[in-house]
Amino acid sequence: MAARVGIDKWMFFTTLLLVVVGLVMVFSASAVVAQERYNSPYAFVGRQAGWAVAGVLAMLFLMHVDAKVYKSTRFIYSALAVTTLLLVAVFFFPGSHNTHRWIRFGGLFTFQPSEIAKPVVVIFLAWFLHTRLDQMRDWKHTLLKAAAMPVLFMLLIVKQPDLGTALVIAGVAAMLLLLAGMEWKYLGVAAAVALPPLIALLVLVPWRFKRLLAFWNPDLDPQGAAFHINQSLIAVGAGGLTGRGYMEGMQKLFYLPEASTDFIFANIAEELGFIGSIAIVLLFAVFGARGLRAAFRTQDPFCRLVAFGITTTILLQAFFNISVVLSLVPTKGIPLPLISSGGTSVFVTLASIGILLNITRTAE
Amino acid sequence: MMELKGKKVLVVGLGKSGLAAALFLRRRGAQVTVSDVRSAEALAKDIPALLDEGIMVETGGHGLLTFRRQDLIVISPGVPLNTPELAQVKSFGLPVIGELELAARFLKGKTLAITGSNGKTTTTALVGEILQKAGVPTLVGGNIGVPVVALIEQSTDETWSVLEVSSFQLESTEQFHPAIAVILNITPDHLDRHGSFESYAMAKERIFAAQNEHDFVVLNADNARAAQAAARSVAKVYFFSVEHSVLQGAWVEDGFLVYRSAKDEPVEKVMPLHNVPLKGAHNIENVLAAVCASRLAGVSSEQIRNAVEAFQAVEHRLEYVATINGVEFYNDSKATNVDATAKAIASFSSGIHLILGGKDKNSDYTQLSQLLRDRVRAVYTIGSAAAKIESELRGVVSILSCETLDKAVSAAASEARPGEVVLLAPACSSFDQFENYEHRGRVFKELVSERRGWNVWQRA
Repeated sequence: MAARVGIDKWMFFTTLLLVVVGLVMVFSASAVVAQERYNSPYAFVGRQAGWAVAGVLAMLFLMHVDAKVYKSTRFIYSALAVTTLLLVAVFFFPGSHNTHRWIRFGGLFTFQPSEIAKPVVVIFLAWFLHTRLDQMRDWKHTLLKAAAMPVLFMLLIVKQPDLGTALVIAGVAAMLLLLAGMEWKYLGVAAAVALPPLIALLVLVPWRFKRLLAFWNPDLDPQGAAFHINQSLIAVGAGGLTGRGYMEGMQKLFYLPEASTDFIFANIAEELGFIGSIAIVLLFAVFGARGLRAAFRTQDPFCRLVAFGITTTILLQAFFNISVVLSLVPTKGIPLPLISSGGTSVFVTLASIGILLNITRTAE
Repeated sequence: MMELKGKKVLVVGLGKSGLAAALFLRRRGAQVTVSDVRSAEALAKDIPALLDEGIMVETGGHGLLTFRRQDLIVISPGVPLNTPELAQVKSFGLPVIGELELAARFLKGKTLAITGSNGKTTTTALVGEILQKAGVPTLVGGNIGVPVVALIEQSTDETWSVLEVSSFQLESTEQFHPAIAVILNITPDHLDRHGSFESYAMAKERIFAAQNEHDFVVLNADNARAAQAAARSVAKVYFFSVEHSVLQGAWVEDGFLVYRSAKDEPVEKVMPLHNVPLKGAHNIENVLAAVCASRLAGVSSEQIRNAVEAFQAVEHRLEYVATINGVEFYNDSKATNVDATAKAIASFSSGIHLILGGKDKNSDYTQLSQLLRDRVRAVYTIGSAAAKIESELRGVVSILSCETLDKAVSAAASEARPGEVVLLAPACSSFDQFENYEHRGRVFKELVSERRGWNVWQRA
């Protein structure tokens, strides 16, 4: 007797607010750089706005599509195949910043397949696990098979290299498996298996190791590996309680790297201060609370897993991103969902929220 | 088993099960006192029988001294566990148990217990019927009619007691140990706060708390919260699902209800889906649960099929009529008083479009207020009682004045959204517009069937 209630308005408006704040802050963070590079202060924010509008349209459409349609085997297999294809295809496109993360069509359209891997892993695991809630102790047939696709995606993404996104996928997959009833000891086993290669990736890749050292001791190499994090902390500190004021930030003026993407929260802290930063954190908290509420109130096991997965994907990224900015964890390139500049990210996140909003309708 | 002879026992709450518990305890030689907050007048019909048996009766509230100098306190399901008196008594170290727990300590044979937010009564009745038809000595009780303590005297070591148990009853259990425990579904019901939903869910899970690895637990794979209980059970877990196959348990496959006792065992075809006499998606879940539980109790697939096919839902008593545009229609024309209507409303968690009215029997409709607020989206009034109902329930729920059943069905059908329910449970007699309640029910079913023809998308 699934009673239909309306779309969760709290979640809907929190999402829109985050997108608007994102565009406003992306403009502030990118205007000067855009003017310098493209001779127009709107170069970055214009493209971001295009993606955001497309994303909101996708959200409005998907929130009217019954989330149960994704249960179909055909949908799942197609999504897995397309995602694998895209994740392999990135290696055939010219890199940027020494990484292969983007697929480009002409100069205008770029697309980041690792973003789409996140919701695809969530929907795949929800589909695979929702019929196996009684088989969660069967590691051979349930746990290993469930882990195979996410691990393949993670390996392809690590190869790009984009360790941050791979770690987000690992975290979300682990939480979904635990929600489905996996015993904690298997998580221990997985961690034990994953730890040696992870340490190898952190220690043997020179720039990662330098960043790691810089995290422990930011004074070691302030102009090199610790540059990001030092500039970020300067920005946050400069903001104080109320900030320097919108558009008044100094750090984004070629000091703070990635001011409109991975470090946009530093720019927010500088311009809007502690109060503005806390407001952003609160918006994510409201979003998270509504998402988890939907997850635990919907009665369909598939929808519960999907709602939980989408919510934790967004929360985990926000948590990591803000932690990086505050130097609570070593620097990793993870966007602040809905806010950071990055077209694919904002589009895919909004589309996922569309699915989540549909599930809120069945959450009594 | 505990010794009762000469023990001082207090029974709190004089409902049906409190009364049965008091009489049982007295017959086992205990010195029994009964205490109820209601007045002596309200309890007048039960008091003489109790006094005749030598049971002391206290009415109009509990004196603090009543709770002293007892060896055991038995509380009825309706009594809240957190009253100050009970809290104090517990702090003295006195055992406080529920009627179900008391019964569990004396009931002989094996127990098959069924709980859930919806469908308990149907499933319990169905399992009872299956076991009985298969020649198993069966007793049926719990929430469904007979209190569990009243079954004790008839039980033998061969008996299967099929019990409908509520979360209220499970809250105060310790040794209650069903050989087969069934959780049909756990839905938020009218509980708003997640915290209290979780404690409600955990109360349901107490049904398997005392089980060991030789016992069975049967869970609904299509209900997220019920399925997740699997992680906390030490018993053998069986699932049932309308949507997909399960490792061991019952599910629907190619138009058949099927069962598999273990992963490597063959799949047994129990019966064709269209032979199930109970309609509505939730009833298929109930039947699957009953199939699985009865199979585990040792009944063969064939015996189950015969019993299920012969099982008839009672006409006009929460009778499923049809699903149109995703809206389910139920006929409870037999609900001719406020009490019966309350029970009908309580069978659905929310989203109810309720048709009320007929000939007033001098009823107090405000008794429905809480249920209406929690579960009913709109009320559609018919018949001569309409004006009275509207004035008594104004502001409680949105009310549409429809006059006739015909108009009420049209209005409710157009207001209801997919997943919601249109329920005829009028709380009045039918004599102003119909010959009797059966006639009213048949007219309702015809009106619904007419609407059915309008839409080709409805599911069977």
